Amino acid sequence: MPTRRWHLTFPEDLVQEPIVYRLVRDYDLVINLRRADVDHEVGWILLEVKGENAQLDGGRRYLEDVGVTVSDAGGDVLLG
Amino acid sequence: MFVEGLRCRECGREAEIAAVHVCEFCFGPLEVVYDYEGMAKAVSRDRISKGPRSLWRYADMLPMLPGTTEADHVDLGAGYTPLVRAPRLGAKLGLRDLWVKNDTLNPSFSFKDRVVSVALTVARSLGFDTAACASTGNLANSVSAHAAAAGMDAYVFIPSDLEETKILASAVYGPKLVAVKGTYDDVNRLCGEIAGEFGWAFVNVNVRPYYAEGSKTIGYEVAEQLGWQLPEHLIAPMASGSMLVKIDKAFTELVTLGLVEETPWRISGAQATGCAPISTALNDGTGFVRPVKPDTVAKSLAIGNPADGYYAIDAVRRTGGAMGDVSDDEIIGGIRTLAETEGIFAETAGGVTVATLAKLVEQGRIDPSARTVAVISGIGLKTTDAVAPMLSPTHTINAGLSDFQEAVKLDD
Repeated sequence: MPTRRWHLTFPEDLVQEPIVYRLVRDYDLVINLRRADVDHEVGWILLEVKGENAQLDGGRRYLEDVGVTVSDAGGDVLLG
Repeated sequence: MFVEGLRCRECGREAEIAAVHVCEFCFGPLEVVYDYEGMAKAVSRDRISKGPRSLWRYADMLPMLPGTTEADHVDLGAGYTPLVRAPRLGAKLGLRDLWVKNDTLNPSFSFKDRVVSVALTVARSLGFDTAACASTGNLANSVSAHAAAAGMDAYVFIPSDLEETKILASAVYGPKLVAVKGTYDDVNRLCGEIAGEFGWAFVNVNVRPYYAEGSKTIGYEVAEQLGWQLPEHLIAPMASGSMLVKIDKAFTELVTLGLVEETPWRISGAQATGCAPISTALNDGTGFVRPVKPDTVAKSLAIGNPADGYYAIDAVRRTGGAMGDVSDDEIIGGIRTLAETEGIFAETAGGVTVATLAKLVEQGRIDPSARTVAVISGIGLKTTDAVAPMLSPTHTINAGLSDFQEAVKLDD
């Protein structure tokens, strides 16, 4: 099953939203949290996500649409 | 060969030498671990000075895998670029002992040749025959050039709306150049997925721990060219933040290895205001690196989610340095100031460095008497579009001597 490693960054207004829950419920993704730092203002989560490609793409689109920044676990890949 | 393995910068778990860049346990970044005791016995100022006039004079201090010989180095002659005094720029900025590390004079005209040269050497040792990267400019040029010279296949991913001149500077070396339609984020996402799917050496992904070590050679060279002394202050441009972190690491290693006397150094970082997640995180006091959507003329520094941001902040805080950011107008001003005072034509990242240095001096955040080195990382001929609107002939005349005399008289 395809696997991705995502780094999610949340703005303040999304810190209280059940984002990860929605990835599991709405996109049928298997989530494994590896590290996180979330407080009342901002937060980030590093997680492993498993699922079919269509689900992974849909989950990522959902995250980006609601305002979560998603990148590869190692940071941006496209460089100067 | 003094590489012992890889270690996670976050949880400290160790990993074997392989094409892997994040810790399997916590997804933290992996870094090369060396046997410094063995390295200290092997290296000396004398041995280094007898080495090639390239970054390979420091091969003992780079992540060469067991069995690597000089013939295995993917070598276009990167590194050992000039470190020049910059008295006229220093006078203009109010710095009494300013130097410029001129990395415009690398084989593909940017510091990326350092990291790519090391990355592809390790990649070949690991058995790869294909190199890859995703880039809007310097990295694409460098991977294309080095892969060609090494006889490796190359896949280079670029945004489809990239300017023609930037495409040419990679295409000429004959890589498979894949133009991806979509936004910056789309290209980033696709390339992250491709990097995990194919058995290639994706230089800034699966071979990143080795690739990043190439930047240490800037620090080694600066110290050697100053007569085996550390500068009191160094300022570097920041995209991912990796270069700054590795220069700091180089200074630490030189002390550990007994190659220089331990004297205090400060490291400062420069960003463009249109993409300043690292300097903002430091200067707003939060230390939280919030990803941004890049919007700056300094395309080579346009990394919205920098991998080494936290480590750059740590290095700057620990050494007592500073960070700043500058507008597009200030960047152009920085390019022109450097060119007009020292005769060095830098790309936009150089303008960022010079303009940020000027700003930090004005703000009193830099000791004006400290021996300061400014790292100029790429050549201006790659970003002529940034300065072209401001530059034109100073005089346009008819082909007559009197026309010239008249025009020149106007200048008196």
